[in-house]
Amino acid sequence: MRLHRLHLQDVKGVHDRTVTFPDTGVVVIEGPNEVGKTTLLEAFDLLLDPRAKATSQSRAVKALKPLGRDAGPRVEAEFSVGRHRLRFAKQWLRGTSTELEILSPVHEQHTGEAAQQRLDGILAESLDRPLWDALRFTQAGEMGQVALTDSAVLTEALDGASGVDLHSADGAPLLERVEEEFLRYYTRTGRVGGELKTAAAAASAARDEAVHAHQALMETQELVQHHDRLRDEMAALTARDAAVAEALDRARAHDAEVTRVVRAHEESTAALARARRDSVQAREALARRERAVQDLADAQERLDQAAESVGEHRVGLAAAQEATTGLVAARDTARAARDRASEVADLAAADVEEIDTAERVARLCAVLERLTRLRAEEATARAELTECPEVDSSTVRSLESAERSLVRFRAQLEASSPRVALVALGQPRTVVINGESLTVDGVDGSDLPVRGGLELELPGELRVTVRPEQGSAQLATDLAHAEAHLADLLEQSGVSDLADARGAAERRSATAARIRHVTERITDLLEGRSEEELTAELQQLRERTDGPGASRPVDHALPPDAATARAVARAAVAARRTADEQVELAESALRRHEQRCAQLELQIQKSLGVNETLTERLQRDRERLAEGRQEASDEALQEAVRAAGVAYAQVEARASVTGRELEEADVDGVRARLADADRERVEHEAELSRVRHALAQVQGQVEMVSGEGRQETYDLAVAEFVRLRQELDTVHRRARAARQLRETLGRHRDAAHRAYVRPYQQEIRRLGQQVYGPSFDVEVAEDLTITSRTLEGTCVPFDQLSGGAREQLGILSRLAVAGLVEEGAGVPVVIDDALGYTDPERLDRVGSVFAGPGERTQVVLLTCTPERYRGIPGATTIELTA
Amino acid sequence: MVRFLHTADWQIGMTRHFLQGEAQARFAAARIDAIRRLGAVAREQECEFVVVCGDVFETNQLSRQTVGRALEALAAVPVPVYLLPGNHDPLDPLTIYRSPQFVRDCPDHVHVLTGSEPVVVREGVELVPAPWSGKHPDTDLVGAAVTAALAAEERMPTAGRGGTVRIVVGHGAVDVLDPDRANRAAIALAPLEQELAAGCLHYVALGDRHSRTDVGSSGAVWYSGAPEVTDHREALPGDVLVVELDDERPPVVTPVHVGTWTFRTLQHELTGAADVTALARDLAALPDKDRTVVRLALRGVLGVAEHAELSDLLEEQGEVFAALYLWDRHTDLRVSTEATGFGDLRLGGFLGAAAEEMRDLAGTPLPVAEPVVAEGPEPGDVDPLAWDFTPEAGPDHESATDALTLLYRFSREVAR
Repeated sequence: MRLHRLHLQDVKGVHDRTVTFPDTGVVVIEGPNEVGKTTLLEAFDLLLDPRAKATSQSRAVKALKPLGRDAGPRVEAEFSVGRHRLRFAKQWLRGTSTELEILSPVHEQHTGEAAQQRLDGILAESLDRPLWDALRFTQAGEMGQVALTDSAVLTEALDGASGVDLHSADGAPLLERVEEEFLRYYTRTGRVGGELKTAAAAASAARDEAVHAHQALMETQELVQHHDRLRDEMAALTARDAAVAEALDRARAHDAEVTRVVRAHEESTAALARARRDSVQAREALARRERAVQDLADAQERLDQAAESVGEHRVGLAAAQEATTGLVAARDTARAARDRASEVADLAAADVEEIDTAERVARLCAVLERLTRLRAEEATARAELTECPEVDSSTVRSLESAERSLVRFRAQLEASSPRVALVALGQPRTVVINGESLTVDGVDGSDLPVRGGLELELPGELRVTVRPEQGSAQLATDLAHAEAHLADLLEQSGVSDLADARGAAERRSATAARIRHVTERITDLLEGRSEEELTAELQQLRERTDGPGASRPVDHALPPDAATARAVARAAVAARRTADEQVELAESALRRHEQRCAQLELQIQKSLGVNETLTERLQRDRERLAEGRQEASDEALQEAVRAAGVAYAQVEARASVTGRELEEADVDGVRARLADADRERVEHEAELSRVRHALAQVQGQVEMVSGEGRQETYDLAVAEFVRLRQELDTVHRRARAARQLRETLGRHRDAAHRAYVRPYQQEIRRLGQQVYGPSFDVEVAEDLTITSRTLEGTCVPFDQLSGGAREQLGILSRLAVAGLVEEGAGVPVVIDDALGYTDPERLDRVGSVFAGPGERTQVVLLTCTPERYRGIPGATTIELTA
Repeated sequence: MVRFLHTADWQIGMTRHFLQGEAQARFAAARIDAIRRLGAVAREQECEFVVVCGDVFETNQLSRQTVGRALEALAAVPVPVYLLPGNHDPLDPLTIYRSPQFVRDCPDHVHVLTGSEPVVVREGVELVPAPWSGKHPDTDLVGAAVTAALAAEERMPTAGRGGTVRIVVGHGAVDVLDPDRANRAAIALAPLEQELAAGCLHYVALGDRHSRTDVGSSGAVWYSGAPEVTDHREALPGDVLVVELDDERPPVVTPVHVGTWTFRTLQHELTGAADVTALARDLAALPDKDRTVVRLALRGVLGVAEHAELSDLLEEQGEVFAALYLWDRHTDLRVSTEATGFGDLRLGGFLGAAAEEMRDLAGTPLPVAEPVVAEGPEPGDVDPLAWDFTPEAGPDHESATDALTLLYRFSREVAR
């Protein structure tokens, strides 16, 4: 198709516009946005659309309504399609009209519906709509690829280019029909389905049915075989019946015979046992009798011996009793000897005592004598003591003390007290001084100390009292006291002065010592006893000594001394002790003897008692024996023993006979055979019963089965299966044919596709290499879509290419198609506002590829940026203005 | 003089795998109807009784329905009927003859020959039966029965030898016809012929062979054949024998056809459209199609169009005949590359290439077909259940042929 002129009136924003296209080459229609570039193409599309009749009120039609004007949109186009060149105009909505003028080859003019129909006829015949749709590229539209395989023109072109006539016009419907047939038997994915599946399932089910029936049949066969086996078994068993019964009878007869033998042997064995028992009993009876007789004799003998021993004991006793007298005499003798010895000993003791007494008396006499002397001495001393003043050392000390005091006082007085010197003037005179008469002479005068006062008295003439001063007076008093005291003491003591006192004291002390000495000696002599005691003792001793001296035997002189007496006494004591032992011995001998006699006597008494008992028992035994003999005499017993022996011998012989018979009879064997026969019969009957039972059971089953008609069922099932199998074979055969046909056709069609893809691919590659250089290549699928692009050795799937690259490839593919199709059959390539994604450097080269196809077909480029297409050589530019 | 009807091998309850759906039912019904028809023959021919020499029933395990229908038909036979148990219906534990149904419903004039003792039909006529008691006897049952019967007869001379017509009723293969020489159960022919010659026996009625057969040279030993055909192999099926015996002269045996079904085998060489047309004509000419089983042995090379035509023919006719099927072992058909009908279709482009590829495959020579076996066992005789469906079979000569046919058909459809 070739567009020559396009006129729009009152279409959308276009008021009235006419665009005239050159016959070949690239047309660039440029203009600002909203000027109506796209509207041109839309309007032309709608003009060719058989649905968009002039009367149509469709949305697409309404979209053409002019803005702000109440007018019907009108589109008129002059174009060539196929061999026709025509002008076609349509006005919609208002003042609708359709006009067709065919300019060549034969001029025609139509209006209205007829015009529409005529145009539709021409377009259907000559316009490849898929190609028309495919070769339009709008930037706003999707950049994906279009299905080019639907285009008959293209396929034809590709077929032509590939050099083989692989495409058939009838291909598609035929393939459809084949697919339909295939789907009768298979699923789309090639699995068994549809009729084939149904037939296979039916055959399989029928087969299962037949197998099932066959199993039933086999069961029946087994049942029949079982039945046969059982019948055979039954026959065999029945055949054996008589033999089994006969064997049992035979065994029973043998058993009866053997039983008889066994019983006979049992009887004889029992008889033998009885005979043995009888014989033993007889022998025992005899033995008991003999033992009784023997026991009796033994008892008698023992009794006799006992009596004898009593006699012996009596003799012993008598002898013992005789010996008693001797022993008594011996004892008496011993006793007499002892008495004598006692006497001697007593005497000897008395002698010792006597001698001791005498010695004592002598000693006492001596003591008393000395005592007497000592008493005298004592008495003397004591007399002396009495004569002597009773001055003792204390008295002396008192005197001495008094004298010393006196002396001291005197001295003091004299020393301190005035002195009174008295001198007799004419004839001595006696002066009483202080009561004391002093003779004072004229020669010597008398110097007197005043001392405590002096009272001088001249007797009958004068008295002078000299009173000393106070001290002297005191002193004089003290002196006086001292003198008085001394004098007092002297007086008391009976002595004249101190010296005397001292002598008296000495004498008195000596005498006292003497007394003491004597007294000590007396005490020693008395040894604690008083003189009276000693005297009484002496008196006693003297009386004693004097008393018994008369009884002393004459032959027994008093020993000379105490030692001798004592020795004698000791000997006598020893002799008496010996005599005592003798008496002891004799007495114990007698006692033992007497005990023995008593024992003997007791024994005799006991033996007598025992003998009595024995005698009684013996009597009883004897009576019992007599009774026994009454019952069976000894001879009878002996006879019984003999008879039992004989009987035993007889029975034993019989038993040996039966024993031998028994041994010969093979009892166990017979019994075992009987048991076997019995068991066999029982088993046989059980078996028979089992088989009969089983047979009845199987018979029942067989009868049940026989009415089921299993063979017929099976035959029918097999027939049905065979039928269905044949049917399946038929269906399968058809299915295989369909499958093979589909597979083969599909394969060849694909091969054909592959073959015509090649020129298309080559064309794209050729164009692409102009833009991208020699490394460019594309991969094209059988449905003519580009699957991948290769550049500089890098292969990128189409979907992953950038927007620009995809856009370029889209344009390239369209140009390639335009270059491939026949000149007359082609359609304009319309590129609406494209290459917006393409970088400026590439624009030039892209532009250059438009020129090639443009020589053969119309290439219409719509753009608002005409710079993009400056590089296209020989392009016609149509500028649209508002 | 005695006249009776000799028949055998009714095989009541038989199924045929090539018979499908209602055909099988009609086949079964026809076999029951044969009883009524032979009953009518017996009446028309004034037969005194009917002997059925074994295989009355196809098996001992038949459905009650089948047995009931057979007994019902037997009841319609106007003369006494003597049934001999054969190898298909032996007197084993499952035997039909003792089944409660049979015992209850068996008509009074129908007798089962359960023992080998002679059965007196009437004075002067005696049957010597040799019934089967199991599927695999190990002796000649007929020989044994005859020996026993004659021995008994000799022990009782008073019965008299003359005047009694003695008919042996047996079943099984006669030794002279039996390919299995080792078969111990085979019926020895020579002793029978001796006794026939001696006048001790007068006729030997046999069953087992489904084709009417006159055995030996005596003219008195016969297989009646089945009254209704059962197999393609059978040469003379569908008859019953009306036998007339007289002590004085040889038996008069008259076959009477009672069968209503036909089993046919058509052999055709197909090399072109004309041959397919001839086959169609032959098939159309066959009478009684609903009671006819046709087995086709087709050989040759056909073009795709002829092959499609043949397929259509067989499909159409298969619905008319009781059965119409290809005898696989004797069928070898190919689609020829040369004799193609594709030229008319002008298949272009890839279609042409695909058709060419399939044509090559279809023309691939197959291994040489195995030599024809005269009377081998049919495929049905091998275990029919040993089968496994393999849907993944790859393309071969056959599928390519079919695919071509299909393409041919579709192309024409689309072109129209």
